[in-house]
Amino acid sequence: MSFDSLLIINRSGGLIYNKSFNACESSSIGSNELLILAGTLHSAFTLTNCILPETLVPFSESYNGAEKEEFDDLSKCNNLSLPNNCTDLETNIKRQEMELKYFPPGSSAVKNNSINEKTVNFQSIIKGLTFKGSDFFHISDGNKNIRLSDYHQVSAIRHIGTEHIDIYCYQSVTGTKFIGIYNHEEKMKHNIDQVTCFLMRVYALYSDIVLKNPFYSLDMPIRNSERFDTKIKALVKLDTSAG
Amino acid sequence: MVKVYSFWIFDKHCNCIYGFEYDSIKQKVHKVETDNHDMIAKSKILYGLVFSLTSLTTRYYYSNKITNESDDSLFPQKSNFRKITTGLYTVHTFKTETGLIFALLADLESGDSMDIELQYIYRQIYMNNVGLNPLAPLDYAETETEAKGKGFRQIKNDNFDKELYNFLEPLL
Repeated sequence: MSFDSLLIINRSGGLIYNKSFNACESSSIGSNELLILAGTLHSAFTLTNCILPETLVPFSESYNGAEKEEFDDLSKCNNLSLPNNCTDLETNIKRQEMELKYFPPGSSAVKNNSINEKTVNFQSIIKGLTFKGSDFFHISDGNKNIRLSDYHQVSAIRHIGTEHIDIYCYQSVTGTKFIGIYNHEEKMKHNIDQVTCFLMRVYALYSDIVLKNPFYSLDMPIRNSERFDTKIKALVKLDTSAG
Repeated sequence: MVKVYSFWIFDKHCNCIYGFEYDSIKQKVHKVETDNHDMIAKSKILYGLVFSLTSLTTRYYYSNKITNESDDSLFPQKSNFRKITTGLYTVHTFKTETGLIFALLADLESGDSMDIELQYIYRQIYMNNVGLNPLAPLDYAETETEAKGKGFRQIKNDNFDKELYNFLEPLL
């Protein structure tokens, strides 16, 4: 699977950034088509919530506010009346706090660069940003348990698989969606968590470079941001087989 | 253990011809019936989702690729869409050449693809009980007006129900 293109969609469904990493520029998709694509994907995110099976309804994110109390009530009721269900419910609650496996930058590259080299590459990407640290979002407690910080987007689409392409999505808490499109030209399996890690890094770059720009107005297309472009390019190069 | 939440069949006229969903206690089955508006609404949404995502991915794929083959209207080029994963569940779909769409909502542990299960349902259960059944209608939309997503006829076949439940029950 090689990386095809990267899209960023704002919270109201507009396409604000797209970058194609495909070699042949001439055949690439028109901008109108891309806008339609972005809108359709955006609406699909809403639709997946509507077809939630009844079993899962209490765990949907549309219940945001009252969620906690509802769980308490439910478990109380179940304790009293239906002890059998309790275990069922508990497993579901556990699942709601989804844990992603952490993948270090560049872990999906085909070339077996040494880990040091990758770290150096990644350090050069985040050099000059306001962010200080080794990676944007992971928490390590102790030695072995490395997990991602705050990933709890339970009702967002994460992956759309077809015969020819794979679309991976990551939705930030504010509703901005980061979409990576892969094609199947190279036989390489991508882990869904791995791609999510990559898209979260894109999100970090977006918030660090684009959102901190005082001349950028929110939800508008990202234009003339060469710094963002080059960083994204370097990140993609690091994280895909193109490197 | 894979957990299956619901199962749907759509025909070529965009109608849902079969569908059921289990509730949390696994005792009651909600089926798509003429007076069950919740399920009908749900089936329409699911069909819309599958349909729009298929057209989206097809358009994306073929506008990115230079194709020398002429566009054959009998066998339109398509990029069949296989599954959607959200944080809570996965939708697996399987399309037949006759335009039927089988959709299965399962939990996240269902892995990469449930194609084998869906093909088995089509080949063994659907074909034997509905496709080869002389009493089953050839087309579930009997008049023109029912053809565009307005149909209401469903598969009513006890054998089909039974075999399908027997097949899916260990997975529930």
